[in-house]
Amino acid sequence: MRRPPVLTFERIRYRAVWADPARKLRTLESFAETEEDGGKDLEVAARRVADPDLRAHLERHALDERRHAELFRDRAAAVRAAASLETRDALESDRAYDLSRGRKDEVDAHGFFKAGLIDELGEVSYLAMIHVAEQKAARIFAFHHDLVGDDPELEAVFASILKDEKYHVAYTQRFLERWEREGRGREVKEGLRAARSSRFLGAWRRVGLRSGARFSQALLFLLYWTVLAPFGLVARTRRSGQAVVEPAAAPAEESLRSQY
Amino acid sequence: MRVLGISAFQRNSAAALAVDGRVVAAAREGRFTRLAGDSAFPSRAIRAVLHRGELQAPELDAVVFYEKPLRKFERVLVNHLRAFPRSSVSFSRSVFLWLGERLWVKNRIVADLGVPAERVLFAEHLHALGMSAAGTSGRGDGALLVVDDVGEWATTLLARVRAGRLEPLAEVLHPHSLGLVASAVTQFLGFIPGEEEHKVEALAAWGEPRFLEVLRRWVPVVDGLFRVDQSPFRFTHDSDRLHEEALVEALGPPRYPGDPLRCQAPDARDADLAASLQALLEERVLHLARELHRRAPGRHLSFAGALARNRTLQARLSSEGPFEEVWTPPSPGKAGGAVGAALSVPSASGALTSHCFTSEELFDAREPDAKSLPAGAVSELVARLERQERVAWVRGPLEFSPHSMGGRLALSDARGADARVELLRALQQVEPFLPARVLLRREDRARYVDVAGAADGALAQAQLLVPATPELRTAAPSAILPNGLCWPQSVDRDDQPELHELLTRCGRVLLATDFLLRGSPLVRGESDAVAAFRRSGLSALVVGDRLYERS
Repeated sequence: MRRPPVLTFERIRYRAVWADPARKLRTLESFAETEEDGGKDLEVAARRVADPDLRAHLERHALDERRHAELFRDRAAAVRAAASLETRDALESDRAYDLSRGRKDEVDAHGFFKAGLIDELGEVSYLAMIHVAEQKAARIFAFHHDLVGDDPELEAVFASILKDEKYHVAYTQRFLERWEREGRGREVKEGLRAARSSRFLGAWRRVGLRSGARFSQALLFLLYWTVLAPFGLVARTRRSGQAVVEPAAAPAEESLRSQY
Repeated sequence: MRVLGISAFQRNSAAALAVDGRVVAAAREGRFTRLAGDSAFPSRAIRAVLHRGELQAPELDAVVFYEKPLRKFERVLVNHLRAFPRSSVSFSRSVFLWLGERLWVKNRIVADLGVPAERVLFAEHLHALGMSAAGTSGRGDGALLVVDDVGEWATTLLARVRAGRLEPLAEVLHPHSLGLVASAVTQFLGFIPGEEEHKVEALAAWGEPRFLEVLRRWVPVVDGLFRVDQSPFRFTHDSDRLHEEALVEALGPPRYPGDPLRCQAPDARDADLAASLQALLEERVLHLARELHRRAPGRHLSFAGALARNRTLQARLSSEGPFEEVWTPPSPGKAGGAVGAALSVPSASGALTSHCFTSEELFDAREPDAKSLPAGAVSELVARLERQERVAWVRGPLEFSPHSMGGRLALSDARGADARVELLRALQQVEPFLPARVLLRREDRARYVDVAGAADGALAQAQLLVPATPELRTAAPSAILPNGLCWPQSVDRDDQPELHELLTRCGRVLLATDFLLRGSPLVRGESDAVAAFRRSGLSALVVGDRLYERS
C-alpha cells in the first residue's frame, strides 16, 4: 500500500532525530515526561472511580505508564553516556522534537496533562479520552518501533510498550462497550466524538502554529537583513543614552491611558 | 471604584482585584494551570479574583495592565538594532513573540473581558511594582525603591510617595540593571535566570567574595546610583546567553546545568562568585537607599522588584539602611505587579492599606485511604514530629505569595544534624546548599534570632536571612548556614493559631519548607497533595482533619 506523503515526511524527519544522539536524548526524555504525566493522572482517576474492576485496571495502567517512563529514562541515560552528552547538549538540541512543549492547552501524545482530568471530564468521557489517546499512542510507538532498528534495546522498549498499549486499548474498549449495553451509549458516543475532535483540532492547530511560526520568523529574519539593516548600521554608530535620568512626573490618569 | 490589575507575558502571570483602593483578591495563574512560573495571559486567575469579588467583568471601572507595551517594544527594537548584526536570530524570535500577542494586549483584554476599550489602562512597569509595595504598606507617605531586572526602559526607580501617589525622583535605564547582572551570574552558574536567583543567594553563604573587586569595577557608582559596564554582559539581545567572553576571561568557564557545583575548598569558584555577587548587590542597594534617603528623607521605605526577593539584602537594608522601617510586599516581583497595577488608579477613598491576599479554597473531595483525626491535626502532627518523622500539612486557601506561610508546608523536627538536608531530599530537592525555614513563635524571636529594628512583618513573611543566636545553633544546627545566618519565619498566635499551637505543643522550633516536589508548583488541593505525597519521602500527610499514611 502506498504511504501518505505526510507519513513519508515524518519518517524522514524522525530518522534524522533517532540518528542524532542529542535529539534522540531529548525525544526519549520527552516520551518519559509524557508517560510520567499519564501515570500521575491515572493514579488520580483510580482513586476517583467507584467500580473496583475499573479501579484495578486504572491502577495497573498507571503502573505501566510509570514503568514506560523508567524504560525511556534508562535509554536516555544510556544515550547520554554513550555519546558523552552533557545536559547542555540536550537542551541545545532541536527543540522541535520536544514533545512536552506547548502542553498547556493541549493534550499531548497520550492525551494527559493535568492531574485530575477525570474531575473535569467525568468517568465516561475520561475513559473515552483514554481509549482514543491509547489508540493514537499505539500508532505512534509502532511508527517509532520501525525506525530504530539500529538500536535493538530501544526497539525492544518500544515492543514492550506496544504490548501494554494493546491491553490499554482493550480494557478501555471493554468498559465503553459495557456502558453502551447498560444504556449509556449516548454518553459514550459523545465522549468518543469529543476526544477525537479535540485531538484532530489540537493536531491541526499544532501544525498550523508551528509552520506559521517558522514562516513568520523566516520573514522577520529576511526583514532584518533588508529593511532594517541600514537602520542597524546607523544605530551601531550611536552611543546608548545615559544611565540615570530624572523623569518628569506625568499626570497619573493621562499617563495611564497611553500604551507608550 | 473596582479595578482589575493584570501582569502577564514575563514570569508568574497574575491578576488582582482592588475595590475602593483595597485589594480584595489576588491570584497567580500558575496556581491554576499547575505550570510553575506560568507567563501566559492569566485568564483563570482573572476569573478567580472576579468570582472572589462577586463581580462580572463589565462591572469593572478599569482594567490596568502592569506595563506599557509600546514603550517596551520600542526598547526591544532599539536594542536589537544597536546589536546589529549579532541580533539577527534573537530579533526574529523576540519580534515574533511581540507581534503575536504582547503588542495586542489591549485587544485581548477587551475581547476576553468584554470591557470597553477606554477602561483599559497601562501602568509603567516599575510604577506598578512600586505600587504593590507602597499601596500595601499601610503608610500614606514615604520613600519607594524598586530594583528590578527591566521594565520598559527603567530598571531601577527611586521615588517619593505622597497620599498614595508616586513621584519619581530618578531612574536607571536599561541596559544598566542590577537585576540583569544577578540574572547573568545566575545563568553563568548554571541556574535559570529570572527564576533561580534564590539558589545563587543560598550558594553565597558557602563562599568568600573573592571576585567582589572585579564586579565592583563592572558596576561602578555613578551620579549617586550606578551604571553597568557592558563589555562582560549581553543584555541588549539574546537572553539565552547574558554574558560575553570578557566575563569568561575574568571568572573562568561557565558552569552548565548538571555540571558538578564548585562550592568546597580547594575549588569553590561557584560559591565564591555567588558570594561576590551577593556582596555587590547588598553594597549597591544600600547605596541606592542612602541616595534615596538624601533625596526623600523620612522613616519609611517601601521596597519592591526582583531584588526585593533577596532575603540577605533585605535584612541588611532593614538593619543598616537609613530608613527605620522597610516594607516589602509578600510578592514583590512580577506577580505583585498585578496588585500594583490594580492600585495604580487613584481611588475615590485613597485608602490603600489592605494586603489581603487569598486566592483559592481547597476544593477537592476526600481521597480514598484517608483516616479521620478525631483528636485534631495538631495532636497528630506533634506525635509524628516527636518521633522525628517528616510530614506535610495542607489546609486553607492558597496564598498569593511565592512561598506558603502556613497552608502548604512540609515539616520536620529541627534537632538532627542532617534534618534540613533530609527534609529537602524527601521533596526531591537535590541541592544540598538550599536553606529551610525555621518556624518559631513570635514571642520567642529574641531567643533565636538577632534582628534589629521593626521587622515583625518581614519575619512573619520569612523575608529575611538573619544571624542566629547560640540557642538556635543548638536547637536547629542544620538550619544555620555557614555564614551564621538562618531563615526564620515567626508565627503569631492571632494570625496563625493552629501553627502557633503546634509550635507551643512541640516546645521547640521546627524546620519547614514549601510542600512541592522539585520542578513542580506548590501543591493545590487534596488530590494534588496526595499525589505529591505518594511520590515524596515524607511519612505522612495531614489535610485538614484527615490523615494519609505511607502504605
